[in-house]
Amino acid sequence: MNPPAIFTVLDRREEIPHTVTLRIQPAQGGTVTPFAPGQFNMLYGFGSGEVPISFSGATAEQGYYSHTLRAVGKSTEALARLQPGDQLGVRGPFGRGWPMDQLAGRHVLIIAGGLGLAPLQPLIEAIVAKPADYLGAQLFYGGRRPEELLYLARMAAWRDALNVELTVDMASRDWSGHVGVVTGPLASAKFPASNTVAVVCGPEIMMRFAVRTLQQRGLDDASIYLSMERNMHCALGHCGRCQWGPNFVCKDGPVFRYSDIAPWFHVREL
Amino acid sequence: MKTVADYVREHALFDGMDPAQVEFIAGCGRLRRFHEGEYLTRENDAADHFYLVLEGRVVIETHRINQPPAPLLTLCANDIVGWSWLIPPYRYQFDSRALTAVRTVELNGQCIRGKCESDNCLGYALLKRLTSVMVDRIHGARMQLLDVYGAATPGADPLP
Repeated sequence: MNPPAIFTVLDRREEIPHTVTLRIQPAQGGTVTPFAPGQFNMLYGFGSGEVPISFSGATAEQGYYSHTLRAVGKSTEALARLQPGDQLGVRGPFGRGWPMDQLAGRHVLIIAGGLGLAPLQPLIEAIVAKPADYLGAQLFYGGRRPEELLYLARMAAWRDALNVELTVDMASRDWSGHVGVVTGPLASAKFPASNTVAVVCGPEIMMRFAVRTLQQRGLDDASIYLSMERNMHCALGHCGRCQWGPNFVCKDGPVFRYSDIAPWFHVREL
Repeated sequence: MKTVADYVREHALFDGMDPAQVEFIAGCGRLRRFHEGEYLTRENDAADHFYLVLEGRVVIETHRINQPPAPLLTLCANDIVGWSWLIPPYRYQFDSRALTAVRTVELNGQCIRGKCESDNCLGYALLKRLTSVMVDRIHGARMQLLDVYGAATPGADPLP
């Protein structure tokens, strides 16, 4: 198994409570291995364990990686506590990411829930960098409350290249976005179904509802891509911990085409 | 120039419905605009109308003691506002307020109830469509109650 490389925290930004973005660079300096949108690294907080965390920065970033993570357990709490100058272990990049070659020339529906926007940010930045390469793009982003939505400041720049619809479960009266479920605005959105690709990342129950809405809107199963999450350990497809049906999420995913995984997607406890 | 029937026919609620039935329903409607901040419905008022949203956004909300009203759901083009006209005692259960300038077809609930009573096929066809909207709203409300963004999201720790 490949040993972790030592990286140093360049900076740490608190996005929302309990959720931070770390920019990290190799401790020895030099370049970093390029990654594709949707791939992930295994981040190792010394003495607290290793966790898979998606890349959340633009692929054009040079010399460092960006990772957004939420402190929800021992390992991620340790990583979220890291400060500039602190060190951590990094293995990666791993996995198969978003099908960027399939998106060119087509309309792209980006559907994200909660922290699920983080693995989609590299894809969004790619679209924002070259909007003419796509027929169009729409982002549907759902969260619990307005103050728990990620990257709101950055979204101002995204709006030049894509239509952004924000939806929250709960809001105060001054909220100008949607209240409800993220599939609400999606159900009435206008897009050419026959030439559209959807990329979805968020809580699995949200993705189930999103798939159903996309099917009702005329998208075929081969045009829907989901980023799945299962417990990972080796990230190389050897240990079997993330086996899901015939697939290993770490190696064959985390991004899957829905038509390839539909038989397992609705199997309980899998 | 488009008629009320044209707008009714193009609305998602009536997609694929028998044109004669749509025409019949459109006879109970008129075009109506609301300014930003104006109310389409007020809680406990007589539910005489419901609205096909053509353009703009509407928020469904309820009032609270000593607090601002709580937004519950935002609706936009191709959504409908109000079904209290269908169910006794025919009083609105929530406020609905225009978040932007809103264009609607306002349908008279009493007129439609009368037509549905006299033409049960029309009543059943309309009820099936409204039930579908109600079911979608119930599913959405359940999802909101589940608080799916609160836990177990990408980036979370693997389980032991």
